[in-house]
Amino acid sequence: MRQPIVNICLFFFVLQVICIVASLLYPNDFRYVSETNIGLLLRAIPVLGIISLGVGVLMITGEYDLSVGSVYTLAGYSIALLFGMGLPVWLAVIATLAIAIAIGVTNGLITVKFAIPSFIATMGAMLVVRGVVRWLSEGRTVSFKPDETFSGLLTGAFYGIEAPFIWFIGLALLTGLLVHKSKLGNHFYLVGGHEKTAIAVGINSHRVKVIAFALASLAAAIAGILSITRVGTATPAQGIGLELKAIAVCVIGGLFLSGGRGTVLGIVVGACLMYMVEDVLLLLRAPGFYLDVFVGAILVVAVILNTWLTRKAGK
Amino acid sequence: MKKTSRREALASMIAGSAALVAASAMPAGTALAEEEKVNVTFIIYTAAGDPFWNPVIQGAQEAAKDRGVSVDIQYADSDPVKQNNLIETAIANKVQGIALVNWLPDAFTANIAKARAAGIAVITFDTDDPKPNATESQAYVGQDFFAAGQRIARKMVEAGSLKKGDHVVAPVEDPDAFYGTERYRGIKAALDEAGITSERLDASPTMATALTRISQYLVGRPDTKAVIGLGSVVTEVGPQAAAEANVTPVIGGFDLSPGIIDSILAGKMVATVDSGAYYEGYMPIVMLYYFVKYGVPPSSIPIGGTVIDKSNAELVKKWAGTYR
Amino acid sequence: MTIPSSTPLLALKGISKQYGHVQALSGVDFQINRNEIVGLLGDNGAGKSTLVRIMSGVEFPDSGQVFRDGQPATIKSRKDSEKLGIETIYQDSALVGSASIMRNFFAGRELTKGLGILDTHKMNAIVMDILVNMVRISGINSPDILVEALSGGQRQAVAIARAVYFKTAMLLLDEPTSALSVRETAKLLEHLAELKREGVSAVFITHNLYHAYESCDRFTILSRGQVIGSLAKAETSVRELNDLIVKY
Ligand SMILES: Nc1ncnc2c1ncn2[C@@H]1O[C@H](COP(=O)(O)OP(=O)(O)OP(=O)(O)O)[C@@H](O)[C@H]1O
Ligand SMILES: [Mg+2]
Repeated sequence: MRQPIVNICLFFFVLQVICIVASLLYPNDFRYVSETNIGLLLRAIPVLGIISLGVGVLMITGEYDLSVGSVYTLAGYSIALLFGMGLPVWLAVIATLAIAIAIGVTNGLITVKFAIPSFIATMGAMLVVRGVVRWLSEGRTVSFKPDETFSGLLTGAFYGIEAPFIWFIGLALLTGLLVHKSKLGNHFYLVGGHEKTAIAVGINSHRVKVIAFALASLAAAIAGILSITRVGTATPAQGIGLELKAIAVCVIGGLFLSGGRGTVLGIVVGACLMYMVEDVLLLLRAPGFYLDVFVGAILVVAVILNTWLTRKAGK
Repeated sequence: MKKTSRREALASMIAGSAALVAASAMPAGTALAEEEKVNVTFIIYTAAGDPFWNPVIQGAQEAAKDRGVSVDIQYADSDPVKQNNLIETAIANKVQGIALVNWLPDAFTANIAKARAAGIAVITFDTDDPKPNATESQAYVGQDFFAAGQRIARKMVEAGSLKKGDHVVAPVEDPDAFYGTERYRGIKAALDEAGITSERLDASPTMATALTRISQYLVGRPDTKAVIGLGSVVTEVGPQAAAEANVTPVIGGFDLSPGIIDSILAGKMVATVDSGAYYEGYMPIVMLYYFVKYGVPPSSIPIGGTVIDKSNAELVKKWAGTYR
Repeated sequence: MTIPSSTPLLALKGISKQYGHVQALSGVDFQINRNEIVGLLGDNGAGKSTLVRIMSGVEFPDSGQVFRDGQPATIKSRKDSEKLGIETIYQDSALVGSASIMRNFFAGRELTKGLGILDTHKMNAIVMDILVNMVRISGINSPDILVEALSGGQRQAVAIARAVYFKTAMLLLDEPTSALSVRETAKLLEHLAELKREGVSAVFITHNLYHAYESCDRFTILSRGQVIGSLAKAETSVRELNDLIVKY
């Protein structure tokens, strides 16, 4: 069977070629290959991309996390408030990441110890964490203005490439190393592929899953920190719906909802595709108010196409 | 009126923090004797904790203190069922006045009528049913979204020297939000008059996403002459979106936030429209008091709608979070 | 210390196990001797799989004792059974379908280059060597093939190859032939004989008495959670085994 990743990369590549050619032919009507647009893409992809890396790892173990959108928001508040209280910025970062890991571990423990579907466990966390955000945000300014060094590191540019994208690629490489090349990564796949068998060969599936939950939460917090550093402000309603978008990115990238399959490259390409679709639609002047209609339709088509090609190649 | 989404109804489960904040929002006891006090239930329609309501609550509490009103602030968690329960509880408790946000047309009409029939005074604030006289509410204190939309549109046309054939984009956090629909209707009416085209953009309530979508839109339509955010999030990110898209449209929008005020003071944003949040809390309490005590009929007041620009932004900054 | 060859490799005494109201095993004595293939027989629901799961450490008995080479032992987890040299090929879940042959082969016992990083190169080489030279499976030319793409027989062969490589003392096979063709079954029985020659003992669960009779040295028969007989091959026949199982 041909791996879905081959198709999705092919699909992505073809789309890129079409866009680039169209953009070169009509440079004034379709500004795809403009410095501005490329800069935008490189800044926009990482937020959802990084969240998807974590969600993807968790999906490989066969679980979901609906609380990542809330954790993303909480991370923004956490770093802004801690920094505002006078903590050095790097301590605020460490504390924020630690809070996220604690939430992830809690999600994981609740899921495995009480043997309940992670959908439910993390939906609870989604609501609770968002409630905490509401409570924290009350009457407070939530702007975050760290020093130049810090913001430059997270949102500047190196050799013309946007820093967020470099972070994204760096984290993707790390995730790839973990998932594809490490012992723990192998356990992620085995637990997600068939948990009973994994247990039978002596893998501590609970431990493996709790780690994956922690990573999902951690990734969401990193994305939250990255995005508040970029926009300078956090609002309580932000991040709603990101959890489902991240799952969609993973599915587009060839991960299975049932777990045990998928690649980090797929997640990266999925995230790029997701943003490309929105970007191209807006560049083509699709009605902005109904944007989600088009995005939704194109995503479903992409997944259908991917599934169909995979099946066909399998015969 | 602050941007809000129905999804926020999910927050209804977070009773813990709501109770906490509601408790802290209770007015401090006043010197007036208890039996002289007018009892009012004040219902905020979202969950507790949204900073937008701080000036509203401050207004309600100061009015209560000034007039000798005992005000009970409740939160409906964006849930029409809960809000109806709150109204019914208020009726059962025989309060003398109810102030509420009529944020969902037809949802509260029956209970408003029931309260009136029980002799309780009712005033709506912040949002009302768009159909005139749709409910028995005695008065509405809040922004006229349509008029406010027209006002900011005219301000932007003037500031950006927009002319016939120009294009304007109006991003919104949630395409379904009533405030967005009404404000845009006003904007469009004013722009259509001048022969200027306009379009709404679904930008999402997530700042980073909104920023990207608005920038992408501006890259795709670099001829866009003005960006008018329909709510606070999209208004706040407007200047940065333009900078990232490398274009220079005039930027404006609705609501007050520290970021928005800073942008106006720095000259990156032309203007925003004040929602008059303090009066949303103050006026209903005062009018309920005078009606209950002396029978003075309440009357609707179109508050807010003041355009804030460089000339008056400094004052807003000074009182942000309390009176503004 | 030398252990007399008559001491059983593994002995279970008075094992009981209850699932809710179902008494899956009650006071079962069971043993595996050196260089012996034991046929574990019995009707559906007799408790065979339960006994296997207890020996491999994924279920725990309510009561009973375990002896390895005559010494008391505990099996509380898969790691414990691995230490005692027990390897299991399950009726339903020997391998993870969505993972490759190599990743299944080394599942839970991955070789690393330190820091938890897999030594993929070495593991691939070992897998190919074992599959080609020892177990001699035809049609497998890469360690990266996903297990779900293998036939039932090939899967069993991979699982057996794994047991061979990890120097298992006892291999527990729970209905390994249930999904196999006639030819694949013959091949598997051949593997079993080969394993025995290499000094591996085995427990073989099957509903096919001819297969059992052909490859086993001794038979233990379970019925409704109790042992109703333990017979050496020499003192019984297929017919007698059949009668025993059917009668109870
Ligand atoms: N996890 C479980 N929960 C509840 N009951 C169980 C469980 N596992 C087995 N049982 C029950 O224990 C008894 C023995 O089951 P077991 O699977 O050991 O039988 P078996 O001899 O392997 O049967 P078969 O030949 O059909 O595989 C049966 O009555 C079964 O229903
Ligand atoms: Mg069985």
